[in-house]
Amino acid sequence: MSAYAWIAVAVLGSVGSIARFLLDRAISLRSAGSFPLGTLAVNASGALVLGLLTGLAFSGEALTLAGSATIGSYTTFSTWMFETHRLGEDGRVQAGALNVLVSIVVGIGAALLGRTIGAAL
Amino acid sequence: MTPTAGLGHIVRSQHHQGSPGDAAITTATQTEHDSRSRRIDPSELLAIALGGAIGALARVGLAQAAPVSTGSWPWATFAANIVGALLIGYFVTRLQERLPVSTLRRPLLATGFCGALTTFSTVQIELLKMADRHDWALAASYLSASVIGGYLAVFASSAMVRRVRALA
Repeated sequence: MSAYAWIAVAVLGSVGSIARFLLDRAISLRSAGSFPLGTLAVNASGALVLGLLTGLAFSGEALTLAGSATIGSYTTFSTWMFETHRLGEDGRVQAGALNVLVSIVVGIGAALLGRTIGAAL
Repeated sequence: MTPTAGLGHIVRSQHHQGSPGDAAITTATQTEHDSRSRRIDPSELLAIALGGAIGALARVGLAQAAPVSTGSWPWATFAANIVGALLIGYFVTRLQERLPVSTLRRPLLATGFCGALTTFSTVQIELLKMADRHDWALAASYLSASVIGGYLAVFASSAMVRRVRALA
């Protein structure tokens, strides 16, 4: 990749991270419980968009920038695992297990839906 | 995740010296609520942007350096995710329970860097590709190793920080 592409990766990584923070914050402020709905919404919507890009046959540098750099930074694995661990630690084992299962099912479903839509466009 | 930087660390440190108590959980939740009702601090966004840029560069760099061939284990994504889970457990436990309150370290290191270093969406696409090839064994092992490994990584790094504190 060119130097410009690496600069773009850094900028798009910032954009994705800020978008994740803002959506998570907006949802967390509106949800009453402590179930991590914000991260779930971020990860599900990111999986949908990355599925869409894949369905639209993005490849090479375009996929690296729009997919890996932007959507890859937007979605997060570490926060998902961290929140699951803290739910378990606070004795909310069922909520923790649910957070894992729902994220996986919704995530794969969203990616598949996005890819199907992208391929049909 | 909302970057909590209130007084939660004081309560949490008491919480982990004894058995998990409801009072500690309640107070931690209240602290989180207080920090959520704050207005967005521009320097907080800047910290997230900086951490996110470095995290994205590291993950994309790793993916470029170790490209994954069809039908094989996605090592680059896997490594980034497990390392990111280790680091977020370390950073957040340390910031909440050990170090004095800092408003910018958590957005920089946890929300920005660890958040962008790790990825959820790429894992889903990798799983779809494995499913396309009916490689169910690879998909099942990759998914379970990621989730179990990620959870254990947070557990181990959090425990390590608390152990160091208990000895100090």
